[in-house]
Amino acid sequence: MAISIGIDNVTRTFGTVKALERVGLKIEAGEFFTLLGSSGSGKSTLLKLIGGFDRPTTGRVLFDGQDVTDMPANRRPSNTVFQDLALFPHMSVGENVAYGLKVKGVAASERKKRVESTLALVDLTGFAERNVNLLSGGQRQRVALARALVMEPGILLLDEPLTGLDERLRQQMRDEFGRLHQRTGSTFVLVTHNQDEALSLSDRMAIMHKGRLEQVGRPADFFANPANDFVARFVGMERVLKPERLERSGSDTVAVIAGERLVLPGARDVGEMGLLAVRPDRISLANVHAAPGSSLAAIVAGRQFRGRFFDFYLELGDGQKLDAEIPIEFADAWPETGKPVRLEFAGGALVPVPASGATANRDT
Amino acid sequence: MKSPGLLLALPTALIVLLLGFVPLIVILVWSFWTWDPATYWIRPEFSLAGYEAILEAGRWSVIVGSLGKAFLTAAICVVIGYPAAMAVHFLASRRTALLLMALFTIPFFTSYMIRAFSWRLVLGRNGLINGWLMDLGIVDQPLDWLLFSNFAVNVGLVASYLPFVIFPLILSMQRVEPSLLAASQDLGAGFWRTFRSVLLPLTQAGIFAGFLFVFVMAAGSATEVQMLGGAAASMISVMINDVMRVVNFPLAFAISTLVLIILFGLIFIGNRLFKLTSLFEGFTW
Repeated sequence: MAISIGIDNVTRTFGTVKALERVGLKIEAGEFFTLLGSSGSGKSTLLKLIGGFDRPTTGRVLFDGQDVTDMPANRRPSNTVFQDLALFPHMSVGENVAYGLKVKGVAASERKKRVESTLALVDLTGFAERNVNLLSGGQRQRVALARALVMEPGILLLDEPLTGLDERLRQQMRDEFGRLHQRTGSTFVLVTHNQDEALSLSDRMAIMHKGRLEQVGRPADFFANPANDFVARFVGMERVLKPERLERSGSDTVAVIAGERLVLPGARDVGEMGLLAVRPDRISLANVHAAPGSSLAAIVAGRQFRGRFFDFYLELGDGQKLDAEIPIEFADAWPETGKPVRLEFAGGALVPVPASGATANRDT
Repeated sequence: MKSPGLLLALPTALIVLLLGFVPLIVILVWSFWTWDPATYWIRPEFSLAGYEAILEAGRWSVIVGSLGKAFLTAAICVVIGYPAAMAVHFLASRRTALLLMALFTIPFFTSYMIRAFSWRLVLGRNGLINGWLMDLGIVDQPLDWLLFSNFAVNVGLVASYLPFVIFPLILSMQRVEPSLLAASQDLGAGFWRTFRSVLLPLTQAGIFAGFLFVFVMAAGSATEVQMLGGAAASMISVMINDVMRVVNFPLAFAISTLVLIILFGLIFIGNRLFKLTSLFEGFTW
């Protein structure tokens, strides 16, 4: 049975370092939830607290509403796939998977059955006798998964389990996680620094930074409404423009950048500290008849071939830089480096976001 | 092919060969020569007299007794040393760990003789322990078996060689990934289960290495038994010393050869069973 997780105002300090600061979070039963952040963001610390390997300095951890803060890892209904997989090197594949059941006192015949069915679940039928040290990276990954899943955990914790695998295997295992989540119905909590993983797998996710949650929501929310410029940058909107002014005009927002007015239809009001996160795939070459208020003048600063598109480096009149991803077939129409150009911004190309310093959630 | 590594290793290899291997060959060869009681000297004639003499005059029982003491000492050292190594590796901070390891080496600052002698002051009839026992009223008479006994010899041996078991154990514990212990806990195992099923099997090379270090040194020890043992107590090295007084090289070397064979056998078997070499797998070039 899937179990819900409550993180109630949790702070964890190591000496003077605050690894987690007043984090509150509710993860629903059966949800695939991802904690996304760079190293040192506190995401692994939070996972350790859920797994029972660490205790919060203050605050509580709840499973299905029950306080489990003081419950050690071996008594919690959660199981973990560790970052380094942590397969027992002195045990065979089958012994590794059977370990938890053996500890629990499950009878040998029942144990054998469950180990076999779990190995089948992760596509390792017939691997029980194999030496774990002689398996490939992907196979080891599956053993670690099987070892946790055989316990039929209410909560499965995945601690950066795809680090160290090559791209093809990552993709494969990523699909596997999705499939296993469907099959088991458990609550999955994934920790990763890879936004592709987070976006493709999560029902909901949280972006963490310096021990705090910057934003919690469905993956699409992070693009449509990034909580601040940090989140925008983290999900790939690497350029953030600082307009001279950002003002309300009827139902629209008008930005003044480099002396030009730009109308952002229906954009939300983000107050004085507003910034504009740029979606480089929504910028195109403006034709001469472009409606005033939807384009800006810029200079082409360079371009780079990126496979499916060209990345154009652009500089606005006031020196601010941005990128535009231009499909190959349109790239030739663009001026050469050093030449002026007019940029057209499609709907949603510029997303107003508060500066992260402006929100109460950050301390920079 | 010129390898700087080989060139650098050459002096060490030569020294080991000259100072270690050559004497062993001499011991092996001379153990089969003939001892002439008339001249107190040896003749290069093949003879098994040295080996036959091992079975005489209670020498066999001294060898067995010595190995028995060494075994007991090594076993006690492992049992005492394991929690000590765990404390250093798992509980202590880096600074404390270094301090503790430095403390473990302090016994080596004094000579074996002085260390063994100091146990007399602790274990003797008027020693510390008897004093305490009598002060506390636990015994009326001083305990006689504390000193000049196998007990005293074992105490002395354990105290002398305990550090040798701790270092290989720490080394082997350092090779156990902390995540393995966390994984065991994650799968429901408590401390003892994790200890038995994960930590102990993964540190068996360290256990065996430590056991072997202590066993070899205790089997070759003389001071402790001479200072702390009873009048009849003997050890292999004491016995060899006695034999050498009459310059009976073949017998002395026959005993040595036998002990060497036993020790090499132990290393060979141990390596097969416990993969002793795995302890040093990190040291590659």
